[in-house]
Amino acid sequence: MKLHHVVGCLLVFGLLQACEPEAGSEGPDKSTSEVMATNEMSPNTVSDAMSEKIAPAGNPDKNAYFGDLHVHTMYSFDAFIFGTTASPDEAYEFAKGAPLRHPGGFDMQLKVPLDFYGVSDHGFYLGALKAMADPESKLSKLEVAKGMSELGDADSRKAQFGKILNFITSDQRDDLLDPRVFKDAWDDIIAAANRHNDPGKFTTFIAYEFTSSLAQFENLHRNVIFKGDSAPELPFTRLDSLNPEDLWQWMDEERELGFESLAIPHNSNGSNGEMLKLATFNNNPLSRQYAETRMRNEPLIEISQVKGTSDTHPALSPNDEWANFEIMPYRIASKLPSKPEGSYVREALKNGLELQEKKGFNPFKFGVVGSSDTHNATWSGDEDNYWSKVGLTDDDPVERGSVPMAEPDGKGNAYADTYYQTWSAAGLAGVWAERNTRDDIYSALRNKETFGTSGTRIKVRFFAGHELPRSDDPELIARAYESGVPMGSDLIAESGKTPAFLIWASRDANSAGLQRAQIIKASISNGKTTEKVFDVACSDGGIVDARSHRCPDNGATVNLETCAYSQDLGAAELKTLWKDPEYNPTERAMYYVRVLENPTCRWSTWDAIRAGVTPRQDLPATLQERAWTSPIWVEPAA
Amino acid sequence: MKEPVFWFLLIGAVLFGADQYFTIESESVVVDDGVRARLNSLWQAQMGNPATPEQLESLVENWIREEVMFREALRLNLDRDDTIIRRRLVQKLRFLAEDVAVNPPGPADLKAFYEKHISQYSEPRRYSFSQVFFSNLASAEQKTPMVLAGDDWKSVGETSMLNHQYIAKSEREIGNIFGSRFATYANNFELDKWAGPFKSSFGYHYIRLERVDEPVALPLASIEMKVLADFQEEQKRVMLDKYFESLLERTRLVYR
Repeated sequence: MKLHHVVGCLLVFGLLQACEPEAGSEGPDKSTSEVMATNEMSPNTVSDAMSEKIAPAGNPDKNAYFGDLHVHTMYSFDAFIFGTTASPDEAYEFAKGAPLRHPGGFDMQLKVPLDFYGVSDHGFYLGALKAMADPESKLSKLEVAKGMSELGDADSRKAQFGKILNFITSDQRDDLLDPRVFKDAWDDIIAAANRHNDPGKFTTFIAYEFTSSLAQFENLHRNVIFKGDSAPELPFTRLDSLNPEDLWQWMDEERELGFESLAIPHNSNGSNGEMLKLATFNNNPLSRQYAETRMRNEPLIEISQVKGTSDTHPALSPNDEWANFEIMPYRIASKLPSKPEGSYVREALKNGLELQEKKGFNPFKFGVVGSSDTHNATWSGDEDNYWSKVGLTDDDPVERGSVPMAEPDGKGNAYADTYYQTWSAAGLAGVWAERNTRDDIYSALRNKETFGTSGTRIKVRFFAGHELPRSDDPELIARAYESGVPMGSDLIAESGKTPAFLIWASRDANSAGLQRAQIIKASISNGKTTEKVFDVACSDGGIVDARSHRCPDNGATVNLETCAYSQDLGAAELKTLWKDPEYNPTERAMYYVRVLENPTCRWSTWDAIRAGVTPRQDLPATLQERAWTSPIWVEPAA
Repeated sequence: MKEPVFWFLLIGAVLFGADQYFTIESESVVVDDGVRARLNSLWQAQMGNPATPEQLESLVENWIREEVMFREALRLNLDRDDTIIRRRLVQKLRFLAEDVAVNPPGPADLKAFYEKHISQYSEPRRYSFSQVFFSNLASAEQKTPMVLAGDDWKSVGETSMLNHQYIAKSEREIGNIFGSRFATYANNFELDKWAGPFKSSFGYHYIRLERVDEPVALPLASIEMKVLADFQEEQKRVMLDKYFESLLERTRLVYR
């Protein structure tokens, strides 16, 4: 009974929670636009588009590219059973701008195509449920496969899923372990990624999800992203080990064989303190070797996705007025509460500073990205174009708890008794890269020259240096690279000098204007870490108050009957060269940028308005979309 | 070859007759070889092998139970005024009508269809242009003469993360970069001349159009599958409309 429960829980985890490519994310051009121009596809040569895949010349100032590295298709066991039949090929076509039919019968389509995409299906039982529904496959002959070829509505699918979970926890489970099935699926995933990779226009990555968790739904999932156009024979999955340290060892071994990869943990918010705890998997003390292995394999962490944002929690950052943002309070695939300590990015970054100071190593020196975790093969990060993420279980506003049921259920609930209402229309991975190619984007991921967003396309630059140019320098970016370091890097303090930080953000042309740019600082002094939020640039002529470090209210509003928001408030760009008024060259510190938009309607409000009902009172009606950069660490002078 | 609708109606009539024939009388539920064969073939379709005698027996028992209750439900008129049943029946009828076999189009039919809908199968018009940016209208208007002088135009405007030059962007792409309202101004850009200021999500822009690429049709060979799918989709729609009209002709509509 106990084992049964444990394994069942392990499996339910990720379940439920679990472009025409736009070259338009080109950065500031100066001399580079002409170079890029010659490499863009000429409209007269459309039919030649497939003929040659040649990478264009790069922009040394780098461009911002937006993508999603967390996408499930029909090969994920939970995606398939809840109705997703979309293949990796269809996922990539969708990312490039093509419409795709949702199993619920409506078309899904991006408003703006993405620059890169990585299909990352659950590695274990890869393709197995799909095979069970295929009469040609021997897996369909298993007793447990009965009913798989005629899955019906969401409830019958949930029942069938329960049956399969029981089977997988029984001693017959090996019947489902057909390496041929896994291999066919994996080969198709690899081939699809390579087919759609189009240097200069659209980048794909071979990837999968290592879906580990503990007995009580403590989430330890991470996505493994491969650099190249080939990958190991089969993914290393939770069937091989639940211990992420074993995954890292496998990645190290495969790297030796030429398969370079990195892993990106996600939903630390749902790990109940396990993802970022101050101990190894088996609760031994952390060591230098652990830190080095972790950082070699996991340079990044996912800060925002459909199952909530993992920046910080109000309980961890009581002085951050914007900490209560898209908090998903549960462990993954459960309604058990997830404790904040050990579950959020900012706290881990602080703990990393402390470990560095006291022990001389830092296992949490990561950069950030956002992604979606869609189980529909389709990114759904626009608040007003949202279809949630689990096929037929949450595609209807009533099912996802944003619109009341026709009548209250037996327990008196007006809204569906679920956790989907805590989910987010989020997030995006942003990278700064010279070209939209696998090599360049992978390098950006490796070097942490990345940022995450809650779904909006804010572009944000972040540099630190002792000799940075003035912010109106015509060669600003080139000189910032020359004389400083970009996001994701270390800056070594110089005695007698105060470093400057260049923060430059540009709005999403089709979302609200920018309200403010902020620096999140963490530092350690006398063995104690502290954090502080500084507003550094305000919109609409506002000046940061020198004592409170806050911008004045710019007065932007949202009409909750129409979702119309203030059109003439908010900044198109925010740019400043900032110095830390509390800088102390002897203190170890870490800085990252957060950029906030003016408020707009949350997806649940859009759902309610479209259904003609009042937005749900216990959900925020509006939110402030945002971007977070990877940190810059300032090391004290020797 | 008669209209597909004719065949559809004929098949419907045959099915209706067969149904009458097999319905012996309302109280008897007949379990014969036909029922057993149907249950067995459903089982086989799902499981890949025939049902064992025990399995078949259990299938028959379930079927009897369902059949008896189904008839009682009908007797109580539970199917009346039920939106779900009503929609389901309409849906079934629609599927039947749509499924009536249609001859696949010949190359000439496909080509004609493609040509008739050529705008759907073309790359959009694309604009190549340079832009100079000002964050507010006053400074934009103040600098106009300098911009129009055109020599060192790149240094006239304010810096921003936008590019000075964009190549071969469709209206949709321009909207993604500058905001959807700005894209509607594309028709007002002037070739080899600075025009503006045009308002975007960022501020105000002078635009010099350098080139316009008119829509280019995608070769039929490169998109044949898509054209075929669209063709068949349209055929289905036409068929359904005709069928509905034929039903309507048999119906007396009374408005009160």
